[in-house]
Amino acid sequence: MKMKKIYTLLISLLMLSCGDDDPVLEPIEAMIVTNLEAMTTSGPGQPPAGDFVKFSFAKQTTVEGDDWDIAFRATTILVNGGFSGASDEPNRSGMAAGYVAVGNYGSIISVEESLLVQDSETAKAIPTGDGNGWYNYDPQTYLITPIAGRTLVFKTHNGRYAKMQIMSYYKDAPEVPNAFSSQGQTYTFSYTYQPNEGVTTFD
Amino acid sequence: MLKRKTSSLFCTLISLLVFNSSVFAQESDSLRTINMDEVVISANKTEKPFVELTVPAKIISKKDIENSGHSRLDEIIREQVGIVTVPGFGGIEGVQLQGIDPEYTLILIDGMPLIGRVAGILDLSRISLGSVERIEIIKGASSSLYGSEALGGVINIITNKGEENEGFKSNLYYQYGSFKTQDFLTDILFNKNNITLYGNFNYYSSDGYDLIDSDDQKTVEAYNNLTLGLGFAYDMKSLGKIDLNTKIFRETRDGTIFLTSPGVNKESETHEENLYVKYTNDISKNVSLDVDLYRTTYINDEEQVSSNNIPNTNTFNQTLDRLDIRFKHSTSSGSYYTVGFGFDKETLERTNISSKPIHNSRFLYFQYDWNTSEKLNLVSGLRYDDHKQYNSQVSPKVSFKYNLSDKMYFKGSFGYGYKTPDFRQLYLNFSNSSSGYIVLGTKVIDGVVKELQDSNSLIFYNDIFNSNLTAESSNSYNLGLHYYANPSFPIELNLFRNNIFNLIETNIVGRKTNGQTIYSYSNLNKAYTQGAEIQGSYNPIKKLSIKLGYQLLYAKDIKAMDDFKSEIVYARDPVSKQSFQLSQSDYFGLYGRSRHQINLNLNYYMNQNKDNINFRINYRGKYALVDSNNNSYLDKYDKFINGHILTNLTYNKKISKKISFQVSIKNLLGYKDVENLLNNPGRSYSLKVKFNN
Repeated sequence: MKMKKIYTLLISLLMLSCGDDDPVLEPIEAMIVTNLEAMTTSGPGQPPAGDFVKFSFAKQTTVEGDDWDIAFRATTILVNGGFSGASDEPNRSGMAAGYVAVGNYGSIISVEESLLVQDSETAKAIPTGDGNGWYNYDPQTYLITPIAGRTLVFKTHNGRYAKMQIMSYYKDAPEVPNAFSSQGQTYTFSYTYQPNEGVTTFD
Repeated sequence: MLKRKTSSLFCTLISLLVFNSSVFAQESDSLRTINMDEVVISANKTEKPFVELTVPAKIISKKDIENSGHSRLDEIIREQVGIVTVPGFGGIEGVQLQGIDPEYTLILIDGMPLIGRVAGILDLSRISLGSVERIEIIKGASSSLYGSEALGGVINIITNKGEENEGFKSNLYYQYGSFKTQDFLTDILFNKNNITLYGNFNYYSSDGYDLIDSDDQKTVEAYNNLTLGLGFAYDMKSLGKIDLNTKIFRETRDGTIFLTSPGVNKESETHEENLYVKYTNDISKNVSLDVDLYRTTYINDEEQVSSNNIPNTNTFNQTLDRLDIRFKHSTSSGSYYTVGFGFDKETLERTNISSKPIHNSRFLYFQYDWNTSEKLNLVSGLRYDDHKQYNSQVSPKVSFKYNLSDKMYFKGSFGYGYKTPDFRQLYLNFSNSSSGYIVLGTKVIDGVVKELQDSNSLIFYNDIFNSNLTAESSNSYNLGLHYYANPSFPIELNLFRNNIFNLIETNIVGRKTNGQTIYSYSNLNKAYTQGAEIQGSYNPIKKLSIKLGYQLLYAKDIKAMDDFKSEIVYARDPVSKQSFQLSQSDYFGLYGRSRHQINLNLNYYMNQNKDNINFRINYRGKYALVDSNNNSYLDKYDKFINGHILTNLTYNKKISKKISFQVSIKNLLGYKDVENLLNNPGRSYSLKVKFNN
């Protein structure tokens, strides 16, 4: 997995003009994560097995502890909040939640808090299955494709906010992936993290 | 922009034809392209002259078939105006009529239905053209006479039974061509006094071909088939006429083109039998009786041997029995009533269908063909189908022909069409172990789900879709204008619109704890197809006849249109991976539909009309079969199959009264698209020798 910092909004002018009592806003972070591998250990046609790969928006990397925000395994994405789920899912100790927003990544400028849901016994915050959540499955080509115009919006495990767009499910995000020759279960996504507590906007 | 282009093409076509009419109006009609005596049976279930029909129709005559150089039905069908063939599951090509999918066009042989629709599509290459007298194509919903399947229209193949009192007649031909294609036919006809006897035998074989060398299988594997037809008719004069027909078809294929896993070998064997008894009697001067008794069986066995030698046979065994009794009562002034009734019994044995379902239905229909005046002919009909397994259907149809003048008339029709859910949609219980999904028909889903629930192996099950399937149906409208500049110069314009609803789709209803997704069927979608068809024929000089046709087509899914309208459809740039929103004009429409289609047919006669050259140009505009950018809509950013031109050239030469030759070059320009057009092997040649006696 590799990360790239795209830009950091240094709101230096604002900081200069602020008085001592004003809280200092941390800059928004926009990142691209490439080739995050979230492999199932089971074979094709079998139910997915193995550990989920846990990711922290703030730390900008995968984590082992309880401070994860979201976790991946094959096409399933969990949030660190809500029902802890089956025995093969990590324990939810945080307050994370999420939803799928329709719209361009850039046009999602704030969080609709009323839409945020946590994982429950019957459904995930990011719905699973073809066409329900973040991806379409094409039974003719066997390809998993992120649905265009879908942005995943998250509340993190400690109450911050992030938005994310998945760009590819195949290694090196090929222009035209091939379900047989491209390595799947390998995410490339971009996200924007709002590190300031209580701030629900991304600009 | 697009609209302007088409309308200007339209105008050019009309002005071209109209302008020329005034110049050549004096032309003799010795080669006239519309034969005024041509009759059509399928539009009314009784003979009616082509020029008096109230519904849009087309005839492919024996002459057209012979001139074409084609051997099988699918080849000539796809050269007709407003008809294309599209591949379905397994690569078999089916007929698309007025933009409606192949499942929804009824295919008849001598008025009786052809069965054996695998995944909804009939393989028209099963039919040899050798013993075909003519092909009738009726466009627009015709369930008021035919019941289920006649939603887009009806194609009726009339076989050759000879003229009365011809005596003894026989034909023989042999054709050999590229890919070691062989076509052999012999038929014998005897017709004297009140007895007719006939028999025909056809053998066809091909080595198949390979478009892509790098894989280890052919695009089309070798296959061969034979058809044997036998008939006997006896005219008992006042006691009526009895007609017995039987046909046997057998085909062996080395494999099928849709196999993708290497090391898998497949054999496919098809066996079809038809038995048809027809009784007709003119009971009185005004009343005639027709009784049709028909049985047809279609069996397909596919042997599959995987690399680890586990044999596996897929069986498909379908039988249909039909009885259709009808009376025709003629009144004065050329009007008549038709009343018919009967029953169907249909059974299927198929791999992945555990029970052997039987469907019984009874039907009753009525039609009144009313010549109200010299100017107006009104035909109205109604059919009631009493289905045991799903909602019964009432199918009305009204059509008219109105003569404006000697040279011009209007035709219009409204009809209801439907297709009952098929056995697969009701009874399938299929589990694909390698890619992990289950498909359940609506009649078996409750039982299977209960078993899964009892064993706690369901994660979720959503029964909101779990309702009885109802027939897919359409309301179809046609309005036509026919103009005859002179008998050799007809122009026809037809506008059509089909509103299709209750389309059956698969959708996810549940998931098992082992991750397998459960699919089932439900009536979900609505769509429409609409467009215009224009065709004209014309002889600029005595020896040359030109036929030109064009179809403009718009075919759209209503829900997709709504989604585009509510601005929730996006596409992704494949390089930057950024999404962008699509506008309503970016929606192309349904898969497999071309907006434009043009067919041109030139026939040049030589040597006192004994020899001729026939040249055809068929253009099909761009279309797409898959959603290549995976946003689940067909939009302008998808990859389309390029529009293309296919040309065929045939030279027919008569050596003597009894012997003739034919040289055919199909796909003269050699157009190929190895990725998308798998049924097109490129340019091919053939030579045919014919003997008539």
